Amino acid sequence: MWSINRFPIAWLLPALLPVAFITIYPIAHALWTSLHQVMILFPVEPFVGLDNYKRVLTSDYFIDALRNSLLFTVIAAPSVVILGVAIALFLQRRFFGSQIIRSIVLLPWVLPGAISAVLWVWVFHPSFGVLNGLLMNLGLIDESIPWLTSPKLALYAVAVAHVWTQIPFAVVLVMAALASINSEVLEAGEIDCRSPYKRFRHIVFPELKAMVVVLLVYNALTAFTSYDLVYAMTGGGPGTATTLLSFQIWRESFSMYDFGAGSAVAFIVVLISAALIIAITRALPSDLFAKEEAS
Amino acid sequence: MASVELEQVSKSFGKTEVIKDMSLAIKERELVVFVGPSGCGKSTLLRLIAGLEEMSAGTLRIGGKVMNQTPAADRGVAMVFQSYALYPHMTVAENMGFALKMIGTPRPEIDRKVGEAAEILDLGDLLQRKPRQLSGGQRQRVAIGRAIVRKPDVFLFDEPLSNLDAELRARMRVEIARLHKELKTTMIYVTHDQVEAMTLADRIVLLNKGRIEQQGAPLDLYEAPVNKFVAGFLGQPRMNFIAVTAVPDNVIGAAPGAMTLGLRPDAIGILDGPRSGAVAGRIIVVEQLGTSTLLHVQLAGVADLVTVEWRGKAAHKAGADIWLGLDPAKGHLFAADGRRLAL
Repeated sequence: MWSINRFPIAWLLPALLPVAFITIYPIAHALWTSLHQVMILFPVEPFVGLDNYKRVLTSDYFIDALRNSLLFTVIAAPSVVILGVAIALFLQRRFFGSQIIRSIVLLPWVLPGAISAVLWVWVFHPSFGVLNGLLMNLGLIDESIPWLTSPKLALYAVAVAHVWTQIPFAVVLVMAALASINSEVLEAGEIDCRSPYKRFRHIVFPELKAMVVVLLVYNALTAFTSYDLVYAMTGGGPGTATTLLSFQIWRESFSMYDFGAGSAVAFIVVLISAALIIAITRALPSDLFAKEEAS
Repeated sequence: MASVELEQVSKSFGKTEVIKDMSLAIKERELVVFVGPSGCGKSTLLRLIAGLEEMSAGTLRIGGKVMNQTPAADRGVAMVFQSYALYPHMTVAENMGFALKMIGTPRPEIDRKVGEAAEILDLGDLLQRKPRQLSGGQRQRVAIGRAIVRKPDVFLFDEPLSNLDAELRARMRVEIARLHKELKTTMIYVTHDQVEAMTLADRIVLLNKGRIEQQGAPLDLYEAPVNKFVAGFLGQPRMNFIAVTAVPDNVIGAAPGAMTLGLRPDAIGILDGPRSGAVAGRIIVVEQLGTSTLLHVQLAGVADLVTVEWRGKAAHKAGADIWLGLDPAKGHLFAADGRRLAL
């Protein structure tokens, strides 16, 4: 007799095989690569143990790239979440033209990363950029600021562009969470409490908390592994000012053709990302994973 | 406790006028029930009083003070919602004490007041539970408790029992009546259920299409409806309406619409056989309710079935012929425009 209980693995295989093929195999292959000397120009690929890791960890750029990545993450992830919540709260109101503004806010979402990068290169352009022009017209600056070529400013400029690309997703999710709050609960709050800020803090935010944690984790990962904007806007420069760890994976692999070192950096990024997720979920206690108690 | 006065209040949503130039005075300690069919504006009226909607025109006074521009939280009202509207992440005690906490009431005082309200509503054992761990009836009691704790001048109830099952609804109805006696506070209660309206109200305000059709003590509305709408809305089972041309000759259906005779089901007599004033019909459906029996009878020339309430267990069977005594003196006569005519 055929029984679904007798060969559970066999029944799952049709679903598991593609998953294994497209996720486990590449990860395993990357792990193998990180433990071997894999260089395009050398046909032999000898096992080198943790040599790639040692080389990467002791290289000149590693500390810079790690610091940049962490700073980038610390700036970008909370900014995306805070701005996303603020914009979602604003867009939740109905006013004349609100539908059009909603569509405009979602626009960065549909732009490919490279196009967003080009757009922001032009915003930050020292001679023709909108930002410098605006600041000069307002009389706030006398000469143009080299946003993307100043070692002190470049990382922040790229972070601004990154936040801009990530906000729409946060807005959509927070709006969905807001829409799921019972409108009578909000009205009960209006009768119980006069201050809109207190109502947000005590009634609305607790309902959004789970979504905020998810968004923080998601955005921390997105920021920590972001690579396309840096590649297109600054190429990691000036110097190592915008070199992120994830960008270094590309540089080691496809610029230096040292795939062993590239894979080693990739695995270090994975480990730090995992640590980040655990740290964030621990730091922000949420009812997200709380057990529903039966009545 | 406070009085509530509405003076020529209107409310429109876009081009739709939901409340039309309404004036109403509710006395201190009165329990007024707004009742009417769906879309009659009763909930909107309550929300205008609560401050959850802005009036398009008119004046609202609570306790003699004009409240048109006053935020909901400062009107001295507490509201119980149909969906209970408990804060899902707070415990029962936190839900009940929330409004006091927001105005900076000291912790021990909040605890004392929550304790008192919990005692009134028998919620003592549930104070540390979250709303999701409560049954519908318990949630509704917490919602009422949350309103009591604030010691409001006016209680507002927006169809608070509609989500409960029939048995619980009957129990909570009694509980609300008891609360009104104990708290001696002005209460405004919105419902579409005329049984709730009849049993709870000091005064019923019957609304239709944004206007007050009639207001008064429940029995006054029941016994002396000003028009066909009021007569048809109050009373269970519903009043029978039969088109007539002349009274007292009982010429039924001769010129439909000229006038309407309204007879409550218990005002129609069942006769042994043909006699003067008797009308012949056929029983279509028999409903045994235990203490009484409802007979739905088809009369010749009358489109709708006529409902007859028979006290006790009737031996009548569906399909049998029956003779009914329609005595206009026991009913009401309505003109073509719905007004009640003097008999």
